[in-house]
Amino acid sequence: MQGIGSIISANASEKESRCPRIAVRDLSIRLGDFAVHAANLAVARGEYFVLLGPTGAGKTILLECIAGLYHPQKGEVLVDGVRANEVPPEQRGLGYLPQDYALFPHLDVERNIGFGMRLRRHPRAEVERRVRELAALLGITHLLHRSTLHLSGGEKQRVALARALAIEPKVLLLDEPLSALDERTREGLCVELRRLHEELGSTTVHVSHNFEETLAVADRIGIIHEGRIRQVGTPEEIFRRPNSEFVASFVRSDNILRGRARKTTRGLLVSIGELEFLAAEGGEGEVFMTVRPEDIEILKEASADHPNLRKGWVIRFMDKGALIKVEIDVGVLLVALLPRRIFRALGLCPGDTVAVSFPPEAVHVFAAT
Amino acid sequence: MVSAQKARFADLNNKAFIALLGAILLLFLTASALVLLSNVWYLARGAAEGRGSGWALFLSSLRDPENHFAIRLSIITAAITTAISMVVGIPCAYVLSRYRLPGSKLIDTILDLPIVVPPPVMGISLLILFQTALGVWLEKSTGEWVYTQRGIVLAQFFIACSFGVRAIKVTFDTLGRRHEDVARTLGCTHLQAFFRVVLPMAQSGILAGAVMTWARAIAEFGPILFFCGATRWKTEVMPIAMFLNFSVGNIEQSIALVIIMISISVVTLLTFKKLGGRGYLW
Repeated sequence: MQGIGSIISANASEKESRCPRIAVRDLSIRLGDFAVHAANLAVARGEYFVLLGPTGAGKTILLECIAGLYHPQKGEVLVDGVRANEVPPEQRGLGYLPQDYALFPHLDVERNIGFGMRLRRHPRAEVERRVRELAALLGITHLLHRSTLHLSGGEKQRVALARALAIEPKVLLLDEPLSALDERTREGLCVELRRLHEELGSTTVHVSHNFEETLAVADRIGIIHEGRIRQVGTPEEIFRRPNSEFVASFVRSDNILRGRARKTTRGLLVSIGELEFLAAEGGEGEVFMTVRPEDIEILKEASADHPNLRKGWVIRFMDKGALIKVEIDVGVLLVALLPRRIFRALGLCPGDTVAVSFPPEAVHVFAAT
Repeated sequence: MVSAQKARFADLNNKAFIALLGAILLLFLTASALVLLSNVWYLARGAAEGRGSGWALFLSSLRDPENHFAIRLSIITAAITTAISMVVGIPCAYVLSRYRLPGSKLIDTILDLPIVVPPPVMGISLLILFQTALGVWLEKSTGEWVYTQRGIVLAQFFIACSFGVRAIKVTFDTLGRRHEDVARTLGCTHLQAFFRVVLPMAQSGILAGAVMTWARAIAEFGPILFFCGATRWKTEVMPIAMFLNFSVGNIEQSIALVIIMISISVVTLLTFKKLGGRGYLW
């Protein structure tokens, strides 16, 4: 593996290492139906950052602005603290892997991987060595002399990744790299992307619309919607403490309820119509409260010491494989996610009367704007 | 449940519809083939009616030096036109495919104009151009164009190049810009990305465009007639030779050239399709 460790090696000065590898400041751009409005981001050296959002959110344009393929109409892109707006893509030193991989069909796998190095006139022996090392790292040595036209989706992805890595990029930009793959291959490659990131110590910006994929790889997540960055945080922060109704819904907090919060001696009390729920923390006023479906406990026999205990009846189930989604009407509709084993033990049927309970710490409250 | 009788009727209805479509297609193909094969029929009938062997006249026409001159002139001028059209057409097609230009509808219209206007219009326009001060200056500085063999290339170029640009633009459109983008991030300048990635990837489409341009150039008649005239042994390309022979009653000689032109067209179209040529071309 000698040499691979140096592929993304950071020989940066002390000053460079203090500033983010990539920063986006107040970036705005409109391209046809797609737009990004006043986006701000900072990706630290060695970080795996995922830009997550639904289709048409503007995440690809933002990535392409970072790559230098589009010029922002306002704002700036900084690479290692230096404004890069006027720097053409070939001089930014960023590796880019597009959604469709864009392998060059007139070149075989070996020449695809070595394309950038040959362009930079590296000695032939060095190109061959690095291509072999990357191929070994990604498990594609047997494909080196094959045409790119007959590779599987997973193989194409690996070749494109090796091609982007071969030029020792400062940052690896991945545009929905797993979206064209079947679920099984995607899961495997998520693990591989993360392993590569750690092994090479690279900085990665990955665009995705898939929350599970994001959780599997990200150090931090930026949620983008309608061209605006809505929230940036660790997966845990985004997952547990969404800051808006959109983010909550996008990360599948199925229980998003609007109410009025007031502080009491017991904690924060959120009133939703006639119902009241206790939250551990949060501000007063018009709020949204969310409870993760997996935090809701369904009880056949309720006792008064259960927190946030409400009685209701089962509306319907949805089989999600290992988990079962259960909808319960307690005056408002609550969704619970149960492991199949627990669901079986409870023996639930639609129309059954049950009780639900969840701890105040599981309630996240944010201001309704 | 649908009754068996209704199902049979629906099935019959569908089959009748497909049969009707097939019959219309067959009728059209037969009519087209008949029009083209009428040349062969004419040669065969000539022998039967005692006008002398049509085939013998046809074969002697193939050996006729004047026809050889016309064929040679056509091939050479069309080849030069194609080469110039590619030098001009590839960059034009690339710009039109990759950039949103201001007034793109107007640009498109200007580009399509030679395709839709009657061919003599271009010939007359060229002729008029060379009567203006600009044309006179052009002839003074670059030599004679009107009624010359060089003029044939010019007349062919203004029509055929548009066909080439259209065919090649479709190829660039199909390729998209993703590969260039990747090449840029890998270190290519725009120019390097064009030569190292775009051109090799568009190779088949460009060849198909060149084949189409050549075919269009070799078939050009109207603009050449007006701009270069119909002078034997001078501006006598194949379509002009056909016209000259036909107008003086040398039907078999004319038919010999017609059959050569049809053969060239068939080979050209097959080559174009083999190379994956697509898009609207006329």
